[in-house]
Amino acid sequence: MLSVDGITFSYGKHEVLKDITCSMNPGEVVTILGRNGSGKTTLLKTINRILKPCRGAVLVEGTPVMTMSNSDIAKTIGYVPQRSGGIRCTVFEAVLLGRKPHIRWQVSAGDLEIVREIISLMGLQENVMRDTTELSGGEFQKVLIARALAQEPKILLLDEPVNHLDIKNQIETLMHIREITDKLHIVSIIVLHDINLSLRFSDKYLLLKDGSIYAFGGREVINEQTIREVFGIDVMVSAIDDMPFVYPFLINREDHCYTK
Amino acid sequence: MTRKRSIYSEKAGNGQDEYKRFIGRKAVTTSVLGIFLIGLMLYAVNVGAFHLSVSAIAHNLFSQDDDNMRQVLWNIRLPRIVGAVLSGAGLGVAGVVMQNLLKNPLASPFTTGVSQGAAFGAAFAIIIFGAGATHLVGNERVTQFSPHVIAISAFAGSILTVSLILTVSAMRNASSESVILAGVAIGAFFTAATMLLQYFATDVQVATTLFWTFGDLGKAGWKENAAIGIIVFLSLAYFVANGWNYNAHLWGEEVAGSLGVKVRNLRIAGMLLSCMIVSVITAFLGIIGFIGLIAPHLMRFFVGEDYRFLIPCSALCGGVLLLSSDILGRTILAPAVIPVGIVTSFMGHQSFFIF
Repeated sequence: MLSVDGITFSYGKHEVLKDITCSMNPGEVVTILGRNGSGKTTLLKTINRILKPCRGAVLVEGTPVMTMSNSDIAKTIGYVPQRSGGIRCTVFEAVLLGRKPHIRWQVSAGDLEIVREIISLMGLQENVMRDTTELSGGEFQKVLIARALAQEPKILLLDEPVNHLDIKNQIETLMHIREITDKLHIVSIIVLHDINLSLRFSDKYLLLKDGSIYAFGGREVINEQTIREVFGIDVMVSAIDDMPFVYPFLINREDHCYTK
Repeated sequence: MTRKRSIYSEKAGNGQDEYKRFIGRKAVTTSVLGIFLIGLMLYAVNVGAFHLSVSAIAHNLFSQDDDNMRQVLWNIRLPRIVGAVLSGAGLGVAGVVMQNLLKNPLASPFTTGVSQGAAFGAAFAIIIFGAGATHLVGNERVTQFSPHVIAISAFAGSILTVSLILTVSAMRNASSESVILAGVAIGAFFTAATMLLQYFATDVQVATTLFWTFGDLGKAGWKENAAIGIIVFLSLAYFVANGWNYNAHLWGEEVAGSLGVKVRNLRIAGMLLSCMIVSVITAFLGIIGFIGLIAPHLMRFFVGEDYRFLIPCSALCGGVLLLSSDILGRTILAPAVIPVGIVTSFMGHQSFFIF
């Protein structure tokens, strides 16, 4: 479905991504993990050609993204950027905007039907005529995801979608992403900082270190050694109900705790 | 808090009827504004020293008689009214597009320094190139007024301003506020440069430049209106056709790009067309402030941030505001006529307190 083949990207002389190669299949949620500045956001942006790589190619079902028109990319790849502020428009208008790549001039009955389905899928029916500036962080995040889904993408890219959200909204948002990935049989690629949250909702993990892939695979790649190497901290990985749980040790403290 | 009714009511089929009603409100606003503008134009025909009945206006509009009434209508009132509507529409639409592209509600032809850049270009043409100079040929005083030279020079001045603003906005970490501040600084620079030119100019050149900067619809003739009209209509068609793209751009470059918008092309074309509109209007009529700032904000109350409607509504609202200002300028101290640029600046100041 999605193949990233030897992508290299530089900002001037500074190489941000180095020879990234990986592939993902429909129905998979893939989390990109890594320290700040490791190239996570840059990788997302090269996948949907917001940034053009120096070398390598991104292929969707065998077609290089570089050869696709802007409109075709928009119909294939949905993108939810890092949190941005709302603007003075209704939830309905914000989600309808996702149909832009499909609309020639007039909004068709088909466009409205898809918007209706996605609003329902994301549980936004009650907020449909509310201004996006009035929404809570969790509701607004749902709107951004709904807009990307209205593009009917095969690949959904989400850049830190749970930043600034409380724990309930974080879990709700990731559950929605998990459900729509399964239901619509798409690939979802998420940049996350919370390893434990990613372990609950992802199928694969891509660990980036200094612009290169350090590890890529299932849960087995999340272990004490890889986390030490990628994040530079010591952790203990234990299991709760067969689910790995990453417990970080405090830096330079032997008791690993602030209070006893 | 009471929530507005969902557009997807229980009885709704696929939401199309509800969507039509939702969009219909914006379409009605646009239509009402259009009808109001036509009404205002008809009223404006009758404002002035000559008071005409509706039948007299209709008769003089279409008759072949070469009487004074017909001359007043065709050579004074109608060009002025058409000039006000076209220029107001142009300034309104340039303002709304600049606000979108610069992501700043304070952006307008006036606050981004584009008007001052155009004014400098015009002053340069008048003082250095001699456009608009008056010569004595024998005993005859001949005015060598070259509006096209002034227009081209004003356009060059505004493009220079926009290039500087776009350079600042392309700098890393440049906030939208810094872009506007850069516009204010560039505007001050061009104002100073214009004054410097005037300092070394002759009295006639200074008078010509000063008179030119007033922003006066009395300068609008059919040729000027044709030039303004062509640019305004072509630009308006481009802007309306890109309504969805401007909606997407409102959410940021990355979102717009991910929705298939060619952001760079949209920005360059939008800024160039906006500049062209402002420079041609400024070149022919002088500086007219605040219309480009006020008209879009006024229309956001009615149609929100939907650029499919906000762009044509800002154009119509700009026409209404400029024509109303001109009517006010012609009547408030009649028989003296206050240049419309002065009235719009007073109105703009007041509207900030109202809104």
